[in-house]
Amino acid sequence: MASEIKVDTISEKTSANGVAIDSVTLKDGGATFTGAVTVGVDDTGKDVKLFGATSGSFLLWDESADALLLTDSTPIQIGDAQDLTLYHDGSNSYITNKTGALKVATETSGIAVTIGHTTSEVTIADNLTVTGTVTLADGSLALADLDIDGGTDIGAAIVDADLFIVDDGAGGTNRKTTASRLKTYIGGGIANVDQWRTTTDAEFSGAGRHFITANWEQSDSSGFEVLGGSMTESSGVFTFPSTGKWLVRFSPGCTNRESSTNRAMTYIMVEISGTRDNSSYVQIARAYASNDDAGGEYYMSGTAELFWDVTNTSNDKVKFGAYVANGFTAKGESLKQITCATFVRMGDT
Amino acid sequence: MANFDYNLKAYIGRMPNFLTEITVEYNGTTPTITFWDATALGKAKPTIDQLNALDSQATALENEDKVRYTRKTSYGDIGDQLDILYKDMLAGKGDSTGEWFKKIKAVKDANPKE
Repeated sequence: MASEIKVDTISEKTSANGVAIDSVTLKDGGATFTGAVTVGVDDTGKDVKLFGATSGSFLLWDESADALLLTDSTPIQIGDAQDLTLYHDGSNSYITNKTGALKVATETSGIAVTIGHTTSEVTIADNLTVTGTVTLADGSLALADLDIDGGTDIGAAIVDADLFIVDDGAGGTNRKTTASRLKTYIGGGIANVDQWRTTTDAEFSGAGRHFITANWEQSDSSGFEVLGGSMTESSGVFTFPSTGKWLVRFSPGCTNRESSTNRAMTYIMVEISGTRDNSSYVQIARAYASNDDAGGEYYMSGTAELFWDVTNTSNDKVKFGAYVANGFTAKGESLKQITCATFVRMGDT
Repeated sequence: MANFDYNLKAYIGRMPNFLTEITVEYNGTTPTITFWDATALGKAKPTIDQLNALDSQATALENEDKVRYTRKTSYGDIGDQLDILYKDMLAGKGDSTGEWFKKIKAVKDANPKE
């Protein structure tokens, strides 16, 4: 049979003991529970509020929110020396630690850790050490796969498809670019070199302009190797293997001896003649030489050169010769460069 | 066939200035006159055939020049010639009995002009 006691006040009989009700002792406004404490019942909770020493600072079990609430700057402190704290100061939220390392998900293998929302920004305020693999957000390229520490040589010539990383517009955004693009920007280097020469002496009679139209050969000297495509020659007219900006150099080795006579050579103008229509030639480079008109045989040379922008290999051609005051001989040999021409492609047109 | 310069010399009457009065371009050995200053030369521009027709005169002119070139070379260095002349005069042989005269005469005799 249930019983009920209704009183206004229960006071302790002995000041030192307080009032004991079953296993709960009430004393001087405090309560000591020696059994388990339950507040409310399942599905019908009750708020429990614990005030701090500071006004407005408290901890509240809010049964309606099913949440444990702590006011601003009322931290949870963990550890004998309250080393780890968790709190909100009204502006930001904090997890702090003052002893040892702050370890997150380090004790169980395979625990995933996610920091930040997809649109939030994570700031690493100091050094970052990664012992595993870092993968970019879209998963397309693992940083480790870039092998950007320089520890391994590429082990082969750079090819057009190789990638470089550049700071795009110096804006701090790194982007990849191919070697072929760099080649376009800075030039691809010298990729085409050719040398030709005449193989025998050639005598030219009379004052005026002469062209060397025969006995040309591509150098076959030991140690010479054509770089890139070869020039082609027909009757002294040279055709370029590709468009581009070409350095053209012509240097004949001459004497003033012609028809068994030492000619008075007051001038010999070494000339490069060029055409833009595969027909009409004009002189586009010239060098001068002469000899003492004393009846002896004199040896002369001059080097004419220019940059020739070849935009059409069918129309843009050159030929070599000299404008002279008298007959002369252009020396030639099949084993060495004497009367010779050099072609170097310096870049794109 | 003579050096074409002498065909021009035969036609004009003197060797032209190939820098300012005439420009000749050769395709192999075939000449083409691409510039002719008729005012400076005092002659109308000829055809190549007209010039080739002067080949015998041109050959003679060329041979004269060849003789002149040969003599010039054979005479030797001017300084050496002056030294020989000095010695001739010192020996009282500043005439046709001297060594210089003999050498020059020998060159001229060996290379006569036509």
